[in-house]
Amino acid sequence: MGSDPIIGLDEVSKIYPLPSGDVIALDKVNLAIDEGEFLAVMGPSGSGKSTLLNQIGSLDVPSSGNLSLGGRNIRDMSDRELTSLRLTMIGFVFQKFNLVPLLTAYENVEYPFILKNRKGDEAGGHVSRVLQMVGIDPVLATHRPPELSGGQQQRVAIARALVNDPKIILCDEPTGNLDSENGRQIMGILTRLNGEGRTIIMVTHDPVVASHARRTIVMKDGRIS
Amino acid sequence: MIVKDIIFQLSVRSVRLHFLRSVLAALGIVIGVVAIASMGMMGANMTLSVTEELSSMANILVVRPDIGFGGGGGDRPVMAGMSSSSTEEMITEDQFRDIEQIAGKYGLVYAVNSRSDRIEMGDSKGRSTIYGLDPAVFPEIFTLADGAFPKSTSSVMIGPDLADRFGLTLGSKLDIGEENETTTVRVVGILEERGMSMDLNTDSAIIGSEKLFFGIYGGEGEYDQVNVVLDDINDAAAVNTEITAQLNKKEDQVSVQDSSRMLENITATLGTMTSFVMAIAGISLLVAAVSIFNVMMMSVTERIREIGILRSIGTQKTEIRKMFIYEAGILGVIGAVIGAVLSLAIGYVVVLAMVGSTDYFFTPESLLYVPFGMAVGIVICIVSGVYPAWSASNLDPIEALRSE
Repeated sequence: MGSDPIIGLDEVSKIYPLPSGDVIALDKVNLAIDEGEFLAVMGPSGSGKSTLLNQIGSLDVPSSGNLSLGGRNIRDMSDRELTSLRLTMIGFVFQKFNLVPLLTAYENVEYPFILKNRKGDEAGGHVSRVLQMVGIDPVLATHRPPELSGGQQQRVAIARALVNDPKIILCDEPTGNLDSENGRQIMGILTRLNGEGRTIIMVTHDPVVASHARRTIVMKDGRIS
Repeated sequence: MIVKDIIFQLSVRSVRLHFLRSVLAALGIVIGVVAIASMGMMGANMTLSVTEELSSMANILVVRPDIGFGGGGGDRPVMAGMSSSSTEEMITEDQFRDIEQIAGKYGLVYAVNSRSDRIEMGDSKGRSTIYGLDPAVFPEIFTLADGAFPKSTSSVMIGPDLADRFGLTLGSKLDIGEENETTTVRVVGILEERGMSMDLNTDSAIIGSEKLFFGIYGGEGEYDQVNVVLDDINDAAAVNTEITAQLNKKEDQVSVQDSSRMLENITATLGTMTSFVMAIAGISLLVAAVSIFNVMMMSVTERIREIGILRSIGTQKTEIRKMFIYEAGILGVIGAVIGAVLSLAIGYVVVLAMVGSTDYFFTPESLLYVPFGMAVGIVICIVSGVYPAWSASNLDPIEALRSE
């Protein structure tokens, strides 16, 4: 691409100190991800995939090394700044959907938009458009998450991830709890979003799912092998 | 606006989702608010009732000769036949005039002489207090149940208890004094019951003119006490100070008893009692606070994953804290409002039972305890929610997301 990567990891390590000894979840990882990339992260359980995703998602900060998002080193950022970054720059899609059970599908999508813009009145049209984009009709949008199927919940989760127009979408096993048909549809949506220019980083065990990505890295023992 | 706030909406829905648990937690607050407000209202009604009852006789200053240990204490009974008290122990005519000059502009000033003496009516014998006062003040300080005020030196009024005890009626004749030195007087008036008082205790007494008194006991121009009936109770302290300053310039000659002080002391004592009873009632609110704390901690524990989700999608720690504080506040407001309504009904019954009258129930001093109880209930709820809110906001988002 020629320009600076949107995500850059420079010798990033994450160590969890435990009474039984330190656990090295990430071991001096170097990685550059350009804007608009679709990256699949594969590897066995405990290889550090989710830790890497959490670091990139600014849910956690590295024990050592530098991790830059959009040119800013997250180790220099306060909790408030990291939270704002998650709200504005990053969208999460989880394996277990992670919708807020107290809110309807519509409100789940509306919630981050209101947090960011503080204007609930203006959310209406935008939220409806995003829901429509992922294939959730207005009637379904009035339902609470437990009343929706897995595929529908994941669509709502994708809509929630998109509502603040983030540059980066992080997906942790997005099809892991879905049947093959729904999994295929979700991957279709993610591929389309990548085609529109969004950077997508996806953790998966499934080579078929990973095949939708343009680049795949494999992790082992906290390192990129 | 707070009700449109999405964080507030989440709190409302959490309360609704766990409706029964929320109701039970709020019930503690209801009980606490009712207890505090009812006890407070009872205390206020008691104070107002006593104040009203006593204020009609609390506007009196009694000036007595100083006898060296801080003033007298009611009548100084002198046995009939004994000589009158020495000059040092009496209010002189000059002192009376001084008091009249100082206090006359604030109300009624009159001198009083009294002795305890033997009385006899037919075969009935006994003792009674005999008061001698200026007849001009009779209509201003006494209320007659029957008859008229005495106009001659041989006529008297008597208190209702004395009338009952000796079967005296209008026109009855009484002998006052020892057997060989009796003075016969005729009853022309019977007073209404007046009760115990600091200035005069007339219910079992005989009241006649100064001339009659001096005629029996002598000592003209000297008085046992001077009473000042103030038009305004608020002048009591000023008049007291002025009399003391004027008459006790060189040495302590008089002591002034201020009955408004008694009222203040009673009011203060009732206030202390009210606070004590309210503090005991407040224990129920502390129990409620523990219940709210428990419910909030349960809410945090049950919602760990939800907190993780909210944090991961950009909810600040302060907003998580707000969410739980709102939840505690909602429980507090619901409990306080229900408690306020119930405390009006229960407080009314308590006041009626304990004070015997609800005349002052709807006065601001009494009703003030309703918002006071509500405020205490809400504040306690919110305080109980602070630690759970704090612990929720400090959860590690990654750990919270892993929670099942």
